[in-house]
Amino acid sequence: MRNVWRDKRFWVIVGLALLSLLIGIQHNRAVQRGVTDPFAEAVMAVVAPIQSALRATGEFLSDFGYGVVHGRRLREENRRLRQQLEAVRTAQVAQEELRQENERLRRLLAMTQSAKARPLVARVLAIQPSAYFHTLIVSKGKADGVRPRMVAVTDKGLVGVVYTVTRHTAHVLLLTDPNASVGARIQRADSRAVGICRGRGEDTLVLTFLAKDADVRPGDVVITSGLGGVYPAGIPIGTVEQVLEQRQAGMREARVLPFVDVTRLEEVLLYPPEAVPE
Amino acid sequence: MRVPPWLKLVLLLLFATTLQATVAHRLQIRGVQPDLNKVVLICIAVNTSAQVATTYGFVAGWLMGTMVGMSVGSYLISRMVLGGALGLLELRVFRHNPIVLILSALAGSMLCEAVFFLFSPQQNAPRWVYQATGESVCNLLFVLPISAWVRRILPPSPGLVYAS
Repeated sequence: MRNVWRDKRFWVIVGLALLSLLIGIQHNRAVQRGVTDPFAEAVMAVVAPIQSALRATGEFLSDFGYGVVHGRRLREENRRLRQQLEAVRTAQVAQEELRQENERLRRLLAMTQSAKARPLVARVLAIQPSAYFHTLIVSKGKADGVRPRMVAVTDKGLVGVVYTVTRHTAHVLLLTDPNASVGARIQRADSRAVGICRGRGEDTLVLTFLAKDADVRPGDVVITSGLGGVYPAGIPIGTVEQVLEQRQAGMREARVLPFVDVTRLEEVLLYPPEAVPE
Repeated sequence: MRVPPWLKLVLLLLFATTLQATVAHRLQIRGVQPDLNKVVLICIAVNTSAQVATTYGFVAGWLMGTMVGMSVGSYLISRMVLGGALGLLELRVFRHNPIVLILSALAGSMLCEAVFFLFSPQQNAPRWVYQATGESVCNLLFVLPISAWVRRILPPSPGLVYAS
């Protein structure tokens, strides 16, 4: 039998295994401390520009293909939109007057928005590379002021939370990820039931820990409750799709369809948790 | 300038991983999507030795782990085991046979998922079984063309030299 200890290949494999361990430990420590992992930083520095270019190319090809297939309809739509644009331009002048008046009144009432930090607009570079983890990579990082636990939202509602940051990119843990959970509340005034909204690794979320007598109905809007300290209160999450009775003793559950379709995301707004507009 | 084969393969892995993060979700059917990073690794592993395939497994795992941003160590180990296991088939079976290639890819994918599950247990085990199986089957669609591409990059293996 050959002596494995003298086999160079054996030591290469052992060396790689040890290096894997080192990288894994380093990454976990970096995530826990909320600092940048230098190994990940190096890889992302190479990959991010390629992803950006690939995504832009994909969007161009998709638009081009759409143009070829729907050419006639697009021409008709274009003509109609030009007519609408003329009408909108006229309305815009009047609207500008109203806006200025509104602004003056706001100033008078001291209702400025300056107390809240401005959001960072980040482009989505990558979506869900693994079926097990629902994550996004966005185009803003530490150099732009992004830090872990910043909240990612769109005009439709909550997307997720930043969990790792490199110099020019950040990873966002999506609400649909099984590791994600958020304190939630039913928005309806005569309910206000609270629970925890958790990802299931699928398109829908589950609203758990609802009281046995909680008033929850299909169609109810679910918002963040602000309990838990990560997400501020009042951000829209989704609508109740189905109420599941007595799944756990003394509790109800509901299936929630998120407002945000992550597969169609192009940009997200990143806010510090204390500055998300309600 | 002549690009060495190993660099071409690393670039191929990088391209596949980038594609995985930008396009693969569009190919999702019922929550199952292919793993292009793993497909390329499988194609490299069935055409090289255990040591070389383990090294590529390391590169593939690192790229994928960084892209996901979670469980980096688990991606590294599972991909290295996949590379090493398929690399061990060197000269034991005729790996250019498409049936052998497909069976190796299926078994390799499942092995990789099992190792990943050991190191990063998922909360929903039935869903994991569904996704692991579905992904392994999806991967098969890409194995034959990518393997042909990888074989064009790699120098001829001793097996082929003996055969000719």
